[in-house]
Amino acid sequence: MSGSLSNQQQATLSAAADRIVPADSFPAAGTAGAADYIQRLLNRDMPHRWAEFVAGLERLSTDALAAHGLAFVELTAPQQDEVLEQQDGSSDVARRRFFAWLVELVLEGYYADPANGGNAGAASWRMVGYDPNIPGYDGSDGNSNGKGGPRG
Amino acid sequence: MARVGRVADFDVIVVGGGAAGGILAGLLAEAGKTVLLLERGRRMSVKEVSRDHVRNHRLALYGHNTGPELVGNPRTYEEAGGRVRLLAPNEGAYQNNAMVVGGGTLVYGAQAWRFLPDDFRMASRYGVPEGSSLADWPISYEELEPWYDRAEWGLGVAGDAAAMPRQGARSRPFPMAPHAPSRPQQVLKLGAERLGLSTHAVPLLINTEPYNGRAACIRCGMCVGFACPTDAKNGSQNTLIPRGLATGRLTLVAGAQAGRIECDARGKASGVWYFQAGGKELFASARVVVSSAGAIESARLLLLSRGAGHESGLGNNSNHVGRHLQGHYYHGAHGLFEDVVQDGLGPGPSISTCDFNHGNKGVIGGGMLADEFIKLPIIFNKWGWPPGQRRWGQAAKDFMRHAYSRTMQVHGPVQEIPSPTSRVTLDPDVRDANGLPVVRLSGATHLETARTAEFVREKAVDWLRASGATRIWTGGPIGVYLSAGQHQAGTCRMGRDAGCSVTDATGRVHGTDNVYVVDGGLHVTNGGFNPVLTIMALAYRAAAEIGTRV
Repeated sequence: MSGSLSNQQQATLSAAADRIVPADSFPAAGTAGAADYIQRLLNRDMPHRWAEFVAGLERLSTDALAAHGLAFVELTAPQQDEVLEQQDGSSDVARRRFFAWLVELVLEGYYADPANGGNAGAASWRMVGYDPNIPGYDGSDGNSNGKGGPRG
Repeated sequence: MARVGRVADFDVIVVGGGAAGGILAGLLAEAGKTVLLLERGRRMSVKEVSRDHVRNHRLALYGHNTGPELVGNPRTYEEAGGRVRLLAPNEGAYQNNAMVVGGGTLVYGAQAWRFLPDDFRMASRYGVPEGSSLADWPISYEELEPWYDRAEWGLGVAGDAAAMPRQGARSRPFPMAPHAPSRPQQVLKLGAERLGLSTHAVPLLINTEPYNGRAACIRCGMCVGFACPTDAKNGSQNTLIPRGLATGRLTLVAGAQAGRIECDARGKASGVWYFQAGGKELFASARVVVSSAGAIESARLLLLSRGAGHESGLGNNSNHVGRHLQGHYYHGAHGLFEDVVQDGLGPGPSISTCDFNHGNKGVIGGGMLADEFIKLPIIFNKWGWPPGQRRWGQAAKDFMRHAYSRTMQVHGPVQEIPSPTSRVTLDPDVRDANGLPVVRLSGATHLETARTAEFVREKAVDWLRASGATRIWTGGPIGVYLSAGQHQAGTCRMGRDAGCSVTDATGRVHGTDNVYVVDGGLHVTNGGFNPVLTIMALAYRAAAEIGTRV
């Protein structure tokens, strides 16, 4: 049972991820592959939570439309932050829970190894100054311990 | 499932190829014995152990990089109110240890501590708190010392023995010198000097120079939770298991789960029933049977091995099998410094103090404190985050960028005060992929453990502050819970009195002639230290004992 997001859902997710970890001299989380990380994760490890994820994303879109008359992706960054703040502090448990989950997923993708899909080019590792220090390993292949170097 | 009869006859069958079982099997094979080593996990090369940052033995959000597989190996936990929760292997409450040839030693952080002399006589030193099962070991530090020495030299430990005055007397120094100092070590050393703490390098089962034909550590940033890229981390999978296999007398069967030790009413075991990969059940016979499956699974195997004369399980006539389950409370503090204090030089733990292991006013025992392994960025983000700091937005990103290299964590394993209610039983309802009842965990540690942990945590705060940290944070109030996990111990405690222990002082299971437990399950108490070197020393000692019997 594998799923995927529609183009519009992906755009919403990426835009939200770009506010959860915004762009500065290092890329934002959406740009770094948050939607890719999350879709792969749902398919691999929690296909039973697809519906819950999509529902949360749809609520976010609906709330943006209701508040500003525009799709989430068309809002300005401050407007997007406002919508996300409302999810974060919502009196509705489902909204609050979804947003907390979304934040954790986006952070995982952004700070985990690039092979998982959310940390393109290991940009976040360079940002914080983390180096795995393993010859031939750059994080792009989760099953690699380096090319041709160390013995098994 | 059809039973297909005996496969072969061995001098010794060892169940579990981890820290204890791998060493024991290798040593016995070298001593001329024929040995069958049954290991539930696979044999994995370094390259097969993935480097996935969210599926490993440090951060197991979605799985592990060795067994146990998430499907087919459940456990359960019975809450205080009686509700029973089904647990997957990557949930904390499962209390997992790596299931693979080498066990935890393939992916551990390899801290190589000896317990202190007082760790073997906790009840004599402190008395027995009400409701706890605190007791002395039936052996002393001095009796175990020669075996610690053999484990240190046999596998390879780097450290600075001369700088460790609180440790017990030792035969020899460590075979290798510690790594060159890292920046965290220098920063924390200054703070320790201000406080008057004695400090020293953290002894590690890691080569700092080529040793036993394997390379030195390259000081990478992915040590604990992963296999070593240069194979410089010394476990049973790259030392005693290959040495045993080279003799031709050790038969290693991976993917094999022991289901029952066959033992007659007089306590004479004839062998082990086990499931091969694929589920076929086989019987192998031997003159001695050893369970080295880890404290949790060894207890399960004894409980599964019911028969005439031992109706509630082997060694369980006094109802102690599976009780006193303990691991370590691991608490400490994070400190943020103005300057960069991390230099990325692995494995990480570089400076430690044993000043708080004993003699702490108002609490029982204590624990060692040390700095932490190089943190994966996602682990810093998940575990190192200050309470109250927002998780998202530009400020969160700024904090991550600023704090990652300016933060240090000081923490350590607090000696637990065991509780008889913290235990392993067989689940009456849930079965694993081979149809065997799974482990049901229940209970929690004794309240005194939490009190000691609060005390030691404050010392971590003091040390960070004295070292120049400008912002320090810890977790919330420390409650009472069950801890076991990778440091699991205590379920098959050794003792002189069969009425309040599971094995005698050699590890031989009470009521049996030739069944032994050799793993952390034997530990009466678990020290204020990572327990693996003690498990290894017990394996060396048991190999000598068992070798004289077959």
